[in-house]
Amino acid sequence: MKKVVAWSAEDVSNWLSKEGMPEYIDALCQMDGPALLKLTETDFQKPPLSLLSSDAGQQLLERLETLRIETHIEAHKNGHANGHIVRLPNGTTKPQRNGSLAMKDFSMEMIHIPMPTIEATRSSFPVEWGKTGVAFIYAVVCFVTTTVVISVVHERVPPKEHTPPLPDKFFDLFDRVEWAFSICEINGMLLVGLWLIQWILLKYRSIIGRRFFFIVGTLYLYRCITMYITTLPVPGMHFKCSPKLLGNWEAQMRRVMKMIAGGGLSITGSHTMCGDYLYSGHTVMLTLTYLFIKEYSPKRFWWYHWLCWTLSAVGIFCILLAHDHYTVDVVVAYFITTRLFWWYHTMANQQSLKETSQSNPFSRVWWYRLFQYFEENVNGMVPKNYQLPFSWRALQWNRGVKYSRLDSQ
Amino acid sequence: MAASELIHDSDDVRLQVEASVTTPTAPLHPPRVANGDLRSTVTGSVDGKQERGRLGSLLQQNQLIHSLSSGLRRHCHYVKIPVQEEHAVQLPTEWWKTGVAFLYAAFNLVFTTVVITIVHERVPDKSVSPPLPDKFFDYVDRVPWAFTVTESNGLILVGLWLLQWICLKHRSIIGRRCFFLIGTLYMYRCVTMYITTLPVPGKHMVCAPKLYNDSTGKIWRILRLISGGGLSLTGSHLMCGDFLYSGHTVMLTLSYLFIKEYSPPWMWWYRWFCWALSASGVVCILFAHEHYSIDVVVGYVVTTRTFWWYHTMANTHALRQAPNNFLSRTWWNPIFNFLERNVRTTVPVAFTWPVALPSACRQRYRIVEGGRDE
Repeated sequence: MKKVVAWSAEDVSNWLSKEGMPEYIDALCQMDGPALLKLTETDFQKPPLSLLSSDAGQQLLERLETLRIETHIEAHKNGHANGHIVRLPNGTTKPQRNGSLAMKDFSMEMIHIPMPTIEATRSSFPVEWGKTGVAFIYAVVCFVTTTVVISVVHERVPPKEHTPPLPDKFFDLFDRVEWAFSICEINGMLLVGLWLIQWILLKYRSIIGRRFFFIVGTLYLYRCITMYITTLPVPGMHFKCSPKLLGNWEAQMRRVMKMIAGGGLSITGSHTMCGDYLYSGHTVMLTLTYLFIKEYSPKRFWWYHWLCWTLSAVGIFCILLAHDHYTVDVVVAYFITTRLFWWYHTMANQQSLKETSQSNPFSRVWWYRLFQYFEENVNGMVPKNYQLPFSWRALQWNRGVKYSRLDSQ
Repeated sequence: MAASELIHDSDDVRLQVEASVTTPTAPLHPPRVANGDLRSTVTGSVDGKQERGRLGSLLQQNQLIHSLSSGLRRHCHYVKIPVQEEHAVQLPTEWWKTGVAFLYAAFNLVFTTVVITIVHERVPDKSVSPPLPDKFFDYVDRVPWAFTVTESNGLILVGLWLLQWICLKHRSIIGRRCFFLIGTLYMYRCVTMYITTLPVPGKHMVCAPKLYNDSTGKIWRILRLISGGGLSLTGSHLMCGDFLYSGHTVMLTLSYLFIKEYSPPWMWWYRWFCWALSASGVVCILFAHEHYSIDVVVGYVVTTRTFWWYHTMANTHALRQAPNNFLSRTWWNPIFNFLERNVRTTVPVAFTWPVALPSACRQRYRIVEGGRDE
């Protein structure tokens, strides 16, 4: 709405007819905006206006006041909150804020209405590949440390004959099935592959990749600690542990390299070492990839979620069926993975939890500073938008307009 | 949001957003319009024309209210402002919920003793399964009196927490939380103890002989363990197998967390003292070679995570309405909702005398006053 001071005579006439006062149009046809605003009561006591008006121009004057207030509000829209009380002695406007009153001979009840802060509509998701790089390096360091610790722990595993496998409830109920562990590893590779494809298609892949690397790195770091401090014996007599290389650093290095190259899987023949039981890394990968797949895919792909859940659950069951881990390894791994995932995402999505305070117990974890570094510029929940990793525009064959659910670059 | 936008939208009622007030004879309180603009025009003179204007403006106020509400309904551009209820309703006591939590904790403690008795039968013999290699045991040799230190520290901490709890103002709510956490942590412990049985951590441990099918003997053992509180000090804990994870660590850590959470900020020396008791108690468990290091670490992690999780859910009210509340995916979320549904704010740390002052004192005061009046 144009300001009243900028109105022309035509605008004034339009306004008069809109307000339901066509009788004034002829008399005021020469008036423009500023002149209209200067109308007072005295003008209505003289002809020609006194002849036209039945109420001495009260209605028009009141409408004018409204107009003045409206334009005043338009001009100062951002500054006023929560009500606008205007005192108009003799036609001058004096804007007041939020309940302050200039008049003393007036008692008004003030109620304080706390306005709830509407969540920032400007959600920002800066890309920041540098931070994702840091997270990736962190994950790689944790993986390498895990491999080194497995190699160290292997030297301390008591031999099968010396310490038989511990009593385990699941092993009492189910006998060993030989091919089960291959199923577990195949499921794991499928899930990791699916998650990789999904991650490439995500729009905010830098932020989500950062989260994945951080959580995986931390879980493997915890695993290093639990594996190292107490060494459990092998869960079954079927295990073939490679011989111990006592003090032979070169051979140990080569073993570590072989394991990293094979990804720590038995299928690739890289994992012949024993002792890494508490807790199970296979369970961590199966659970974590499923959690990420489910979290960052659209809700309507329920069949996809169910497929991944089945892969994950069958994989975990097969670990136990193959007698490759104790039950407590799997349970502890599941517990820690889910708790860390949910904890991290709750902190990331809730702005109030990103500050250290007495009422924020979540800020007492040791990785809180690292979390703040990664997530300080991310405001709000990361939306599940999809985008092809490279632009298809160069390869477009048809010139027609394409509508797609994927975001364009 | 200027009411003028609403006015222009509605094509039926032509509105005047004004409330005329005449002074000083009859100040008219402007109508309370929720969530909207309020403009008042004060005209200084009392005039006959004002009378007509006043009636007209009354009518207009009603029209304003009507149009605003219909406009609001139509456009739904409003923000819900929750009006805070009175303070008294914020933290209801609800002792019966505390009773339910107490029963839950008691059931889980009894269940733990039953599971310990069952697991005892399955512990492999020391000669068959020697103690597992443990990094801490490699560095530190066993100190025999260390476990007594642990248990006395535990008793002192539990006693201090009990005293503190009695003096708290909102003891029903806090007691509820304490019972629920104890119950849940011991239930997790039952699960981990039962599924895989670790061998004894040291050759020094004396395990009672196994009662293979002697049910009466087992029940006697359970009762003895409960009556002794599960402590070796009282001579009630002669059974082995309850290693993963350590119940002593849970009690030491949990009582310290509660003491710290619900004590006034100025008592820093008290908190440091309790931290020292707790930390030394936990370390002495390892010195005494009574638990593996993994038992203590897992016990500490599970206790702290569950405690902080619960309190974040309870204190962060924005989470309760959040659409994507990950914290509510735990299995105990329905129990949490049941216990904390009516607790609307963070529980403040306030203390009060546990028993009211005897009424005889008050009576005496009243008699004195009555005497003076005469």
